Amino acid sequence: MGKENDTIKPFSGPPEKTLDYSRVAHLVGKSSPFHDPHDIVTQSDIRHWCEVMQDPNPLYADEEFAKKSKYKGIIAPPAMVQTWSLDDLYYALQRFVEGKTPFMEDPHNQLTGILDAEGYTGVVATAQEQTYLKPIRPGDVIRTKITVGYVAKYDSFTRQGVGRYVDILYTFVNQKNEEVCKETFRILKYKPPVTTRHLYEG
Amino acid sequence: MAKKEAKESKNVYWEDVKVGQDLPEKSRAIDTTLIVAGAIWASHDFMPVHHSRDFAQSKGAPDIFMNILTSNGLMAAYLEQWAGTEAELRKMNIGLQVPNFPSPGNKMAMNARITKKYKDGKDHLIELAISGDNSMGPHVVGTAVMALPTKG
Repeated sequence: MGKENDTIKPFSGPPEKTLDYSRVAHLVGKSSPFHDPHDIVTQSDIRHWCEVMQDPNPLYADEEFAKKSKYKGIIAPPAMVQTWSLDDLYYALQRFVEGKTPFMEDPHNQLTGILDAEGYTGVVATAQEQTYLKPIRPGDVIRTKITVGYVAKYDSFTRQGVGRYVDILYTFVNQKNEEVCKETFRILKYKPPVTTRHLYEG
Repeated sequence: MAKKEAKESKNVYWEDVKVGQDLPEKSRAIDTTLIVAGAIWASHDFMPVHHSRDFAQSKGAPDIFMNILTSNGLMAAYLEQWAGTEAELRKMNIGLQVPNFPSPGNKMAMNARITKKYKDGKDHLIELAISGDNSMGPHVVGTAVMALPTKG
């Protein structure tokens, strides 16, 4: 016992390799072009969402009811906006499993590439702010522009491990170029530890 | 059946709400079906941490966990159902804390309190503090802004 204690030293681990902010500073404030969605907005997309959310709002499902409303027809739940801009299955697996990022020329993807190469290979969404500006309707084509809003200058120590906070700004427009939503999305890019399971148990 | 209920439900009018008012709590069971259907079916989010247990564990998580769009959607639907069809959701601002992991008996209890009541041009608005708590603690915490109909 005493002998073990003798071996305990004041905390002075070797310095961890950490991202130098100057490597990513040039990407902050830069935007992608507008990207087309994988699909247009459909009534069945809306139905799937409402079924999961258990949202019986007739504005989203009942043509007759919605026609008499101020919207003059069915609309989509506003919180659904990002549904049409996410990677489809093929690109999602390329991105998250194969490590082959699509649209690598986009600033936010360049940023992800640098962070991945530095060992920040995990990603979790930690916050999101959406401001809804126009109703979305079946048939709409929601196009998305993605901007790097912010990259933390230093690492944070989090429940997931050591990571870097990043703000991604989304601008969603419809086929008439009207903004339907503005969003700030905060993600944590982190270095996956061996396990965080013990942090959640008990 | 659900549709009929909504049609008959009353709208909440701006004149009738007050700051400090709590919305009735609602809760949802947090299970694998909700997490997978929320990610893949509802929000088209194919990031494998939300549907593949093996992948989630390889990233250090104990299990799959709910994606932020589903968390946001559940809270938004909770608010919209309280307010009725004439209300408009203008803003959702949420932060995630402990993840929604699937486990037997796990539930997310959704709550909201009106924190501000104000006019902006023609709009009659309320701001709400919102929270969704699971068996481990707060999952989602944030604020929302809604425009409510008026009687006038």
